[in-house]
Amino acid sequence: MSNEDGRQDAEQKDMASKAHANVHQDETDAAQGTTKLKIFRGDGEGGKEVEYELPAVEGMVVLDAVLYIQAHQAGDLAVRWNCKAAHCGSCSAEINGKPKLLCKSRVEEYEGQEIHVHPLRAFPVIKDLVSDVSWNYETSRSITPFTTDEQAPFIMYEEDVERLYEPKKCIECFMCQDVCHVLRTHHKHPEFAGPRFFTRMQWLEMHPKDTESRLRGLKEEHGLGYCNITKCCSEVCPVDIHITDNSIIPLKERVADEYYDPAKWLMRKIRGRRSPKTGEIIGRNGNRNGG
Amino acid sequence: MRRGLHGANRLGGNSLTDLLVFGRRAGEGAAEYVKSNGYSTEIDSSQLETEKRRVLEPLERQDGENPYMLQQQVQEAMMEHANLMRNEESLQEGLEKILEVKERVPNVKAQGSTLFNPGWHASQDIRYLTQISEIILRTALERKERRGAQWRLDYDGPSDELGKINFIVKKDEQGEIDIERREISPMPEHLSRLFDEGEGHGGEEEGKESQF
Repeated sequence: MSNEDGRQDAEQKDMASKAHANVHQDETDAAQGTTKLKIFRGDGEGGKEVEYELPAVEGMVVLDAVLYIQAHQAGDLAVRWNCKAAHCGSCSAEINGKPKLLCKSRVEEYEGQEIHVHPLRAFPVIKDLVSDVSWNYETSRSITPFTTDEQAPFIMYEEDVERLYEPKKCIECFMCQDVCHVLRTHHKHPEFAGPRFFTRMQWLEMHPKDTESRLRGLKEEHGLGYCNITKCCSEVCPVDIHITDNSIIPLKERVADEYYDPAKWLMRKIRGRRSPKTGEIIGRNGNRNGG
Repeated sequence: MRRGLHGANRLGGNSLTDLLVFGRRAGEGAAEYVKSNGYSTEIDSSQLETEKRRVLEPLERQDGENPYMLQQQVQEAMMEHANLMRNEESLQEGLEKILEVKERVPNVKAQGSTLFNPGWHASQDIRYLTQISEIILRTALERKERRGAQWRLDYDGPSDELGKINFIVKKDEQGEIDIERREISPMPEHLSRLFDEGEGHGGEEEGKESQF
């Protein structure tokens, strides 16, 4: 093996260890000074911030720092994480009050500031940085799933398919749910599905092969009307879904068309109600919403 | 090791689909087996107590090994010695490192309570991590050929003889790893002809297509 190969080999090994593991000894040896983190330690009953100091490593993300602390100083520090590549949506927490993926936030971004790490606050805290997000899974189950009378594979127009890519990017980190004031401040959990599920329902409603309509549910059970389009959800989305513009507003428009448009209401009185999806007449003076 | 639906190629993405399909089937099969054999679901309470004690021990112990450090040592050893490219000497060295960690596993210490405690979980995981690492290394040593993702640098290619054999890993009486060599039943004709690539069945054109 030539020197050149040897060096490449060493570099590759170095890269591999960075990609796959916690901050390792060889990295901490090369550390430049130290960094400090204040982490919430506690449970549903309450808790307090605890300060930790650790070796600073160039390029380190907050999750690296948390895992270093876990391995060396506080073995029972609870944090939920899996992929460390911004794909699984598990490590969402709050850094300095804003929802962030811990694996995608570099410590260097906070240079000159204190770093406070807390769990998502719109949901009950289990322990330390872990919140109980199970309400989201219950809400998900309350949505009528994809329903079709055709057999896949489907033939669809390309533009219809492309429209579905964006809502499908969601990794369910629930940071949009965390930041939304309807949930976070006003605690409308039972009557407001939240941005993540409007994105989900947008996908379902815009799917050309889905035969269900979820507009009534959106209006009455899932509280679409509570959203006053402040776009906070779009701002925190780690996969850049334009939740407000491309999910919530189109759904609001469809609900308005269906339930609040006087011209359409009159037409329905005269010509009978048509299914919003299939265009079939499903009853005269259709009274599903009392309208 | 490294067999199944995807043959010798059993990397991450493949194993995920494998576990979704065959994990489900295995679960359903196990439930069916238990039901149809009339086994009782009653559990011997003394066994339960022993297991509970074993699981809680890392929290109760005064002093002991840091499970995260053991985990890191296993990761490093496996990255270095059980990577795609391997040879007998390096695999052997890896095995020695893993066996050294295995000795220390019964003495792990976790702090804190049983509530969402990753350190306590790590102290359980490390036992299985060392076990599966040992299995990977021992079967890789046993498979003296280059096949698929087993890129043995000390062998030139696959061996016909080992191609007919699966390694089945079991616990022996001492609880240690026992590797059984089990002959693979011959591939059914309708499958084996897919492997003929260009010769015999299907003609040249079909063979070429099948490479993509």
